[in-house]
Amino acid sequence: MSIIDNLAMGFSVAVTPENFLYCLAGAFLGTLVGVFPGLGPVTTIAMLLPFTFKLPAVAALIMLSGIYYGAHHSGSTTAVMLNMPGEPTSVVICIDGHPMARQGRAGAALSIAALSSFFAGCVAVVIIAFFSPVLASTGLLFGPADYASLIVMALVTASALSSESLTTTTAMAALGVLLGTVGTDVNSGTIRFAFGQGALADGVNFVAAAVGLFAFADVITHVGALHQRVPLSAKITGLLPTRADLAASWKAILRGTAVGAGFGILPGTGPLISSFASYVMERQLATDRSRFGKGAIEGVAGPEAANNAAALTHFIPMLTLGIPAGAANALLMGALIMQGITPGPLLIEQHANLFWGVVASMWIGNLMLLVLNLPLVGIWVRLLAIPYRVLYPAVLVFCCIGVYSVSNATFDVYLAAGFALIGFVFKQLNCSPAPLILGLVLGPMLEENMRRALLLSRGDFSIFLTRPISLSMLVLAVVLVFIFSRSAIRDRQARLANPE
Amino acid sequence: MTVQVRIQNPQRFAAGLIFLAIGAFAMIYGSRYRMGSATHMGPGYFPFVLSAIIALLGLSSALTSLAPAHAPRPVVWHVIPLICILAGIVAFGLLVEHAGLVLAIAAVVMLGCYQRLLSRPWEVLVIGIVLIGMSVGLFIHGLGMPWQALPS
Repeated sequence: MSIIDNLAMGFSVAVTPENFLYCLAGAFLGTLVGVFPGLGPVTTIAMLLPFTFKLPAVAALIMLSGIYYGAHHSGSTTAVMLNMPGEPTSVVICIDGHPMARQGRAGAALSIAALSSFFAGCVAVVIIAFFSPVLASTGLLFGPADYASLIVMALVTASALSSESLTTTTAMAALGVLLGTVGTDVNSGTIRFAFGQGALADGVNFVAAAVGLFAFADVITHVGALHQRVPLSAKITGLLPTRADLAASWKAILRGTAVGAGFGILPGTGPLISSFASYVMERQLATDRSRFGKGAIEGVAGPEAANNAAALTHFIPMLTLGIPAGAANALLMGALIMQGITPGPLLIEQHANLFWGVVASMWIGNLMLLVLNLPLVGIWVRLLAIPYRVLYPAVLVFCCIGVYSVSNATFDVYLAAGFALIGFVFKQLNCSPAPLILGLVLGPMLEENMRRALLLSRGDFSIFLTRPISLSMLVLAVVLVFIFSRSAIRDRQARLANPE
Repeated sequence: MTVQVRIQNPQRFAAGLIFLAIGAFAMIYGSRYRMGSATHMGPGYFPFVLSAIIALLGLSSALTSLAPAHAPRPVVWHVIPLICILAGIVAFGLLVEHAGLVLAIAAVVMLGCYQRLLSRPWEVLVIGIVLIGMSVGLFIHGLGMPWQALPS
């Protein structure tokens, strides 16, 4: 079947009234959480997991992905209006988006952000449709050594792209892999690191870890530093961009989309890096660099396009290789696994309905997001008046319920509390928990593939260097670490993370 | 002449020590599992190598934090919200199975909003009642989760 036929089939899945409604619900909820600072996609997906258990897999994934890309889409609204990222990924939009709002051009900033997101989303859907089958068939050629190297590359990349020191982030990733070894060893049946807890024999519950590290730890940090309500500093006027705005930003949108899609396909890159890369690129290419930071429209258009393109193309490595790009992506994969579907090279063939249905729903979802974000932007902005102290008890309660509902086990709730403590302490020490959660998901796969590879090579470690695919993965990892450990992006990111 | 060693980045130093401790602990604790060889890895092989890597990374970040670095941000530890919220989550786990969802949620809200319970009791009460109503309606009646609402 050609891609056109497949997409047509996908649309027929996505436009059934039921799936259409789940797509709308996902996009709507995503927009809602994207607007609120301190309420991210990880938290929301965790809170909504119990609602997806009884849904068919297609509907569940359509809704959860809607939340994921919807949140990426609308985080910029808060960034423009309040100079505060609604999502961590929209930090970059603050730099030029908020100055635009102060100059009375909030409407232009918001509409350019929405348009560039929509454009990037359309391109990304096409890339997913064309590229996923290719990557899946490549994935079928991967032997155990190649898979092990791919996972190492994803973990190393995730660590290198974070703003903190490379040693601590790598240690976080390794700690995640170590936590992944908790439970019964598949080969020997030995129960490892369970400390006499029967509940740990099945391993560390992934949802509990994600909710503890992200949702709970975030609430603790935010409640501690309960920020005063920031007054809305700008009014929205003129929601349509002028001809001059469009002329100034279309190239940035194209470049941003390309940057975002490129990063999105690389496993382990996480969502933040592409918008930073795009911002730095726009600044380098600009004829008058001094405009940046004072309301340059390219500084909004490029990163926003990159952000959304990456958010969508992250689905390619997740669905076709089983390698999620970040924490929220990993939770989506967890939801799929709970539905009994294992992402991997065979997914497109075995679950064609699911794959093409979700791809089609992404396009529909992006169209809805355009509608939700542009004419309704006033409503979202007004929601920002809801103070955090009213919001966070609900987050706590629904996250507790979400964790408990996964297997009706109170042990998981305690585990989440433990992870909340770990997450909070590490955050205080400047160690981001994102590499840890990736390590936890990928750890068992890494061990299994490493064992098999070394069994095949009779204990010879050179197998990782003699197989071409494996070698290229490792070389790519080294190159990426080298580039990012000394690039301008890293400096900028570090400076933004510590603004003082 | 004495050389003064100063910790330039206390956060990284502490993180390094934590990693070192975790790695060392896992190496010692994990030594009870059979190692095997690279060809036929036992259950202890992979965790042992990994723990050693964590310990080494921890050691190196603790050592590099002694070198001059840019001044770190002062960290504020919010201990009271930390304790209250953790206690709320644990209380949920303790209560939900036998005392039911209503009491479990009440405990999360009361403990999680401990500081505001003193200053704005009505707000907390309203939030609690709304959340209990929503959860019982949605999860037990709507989704049919096999949980009890009230103590049996």
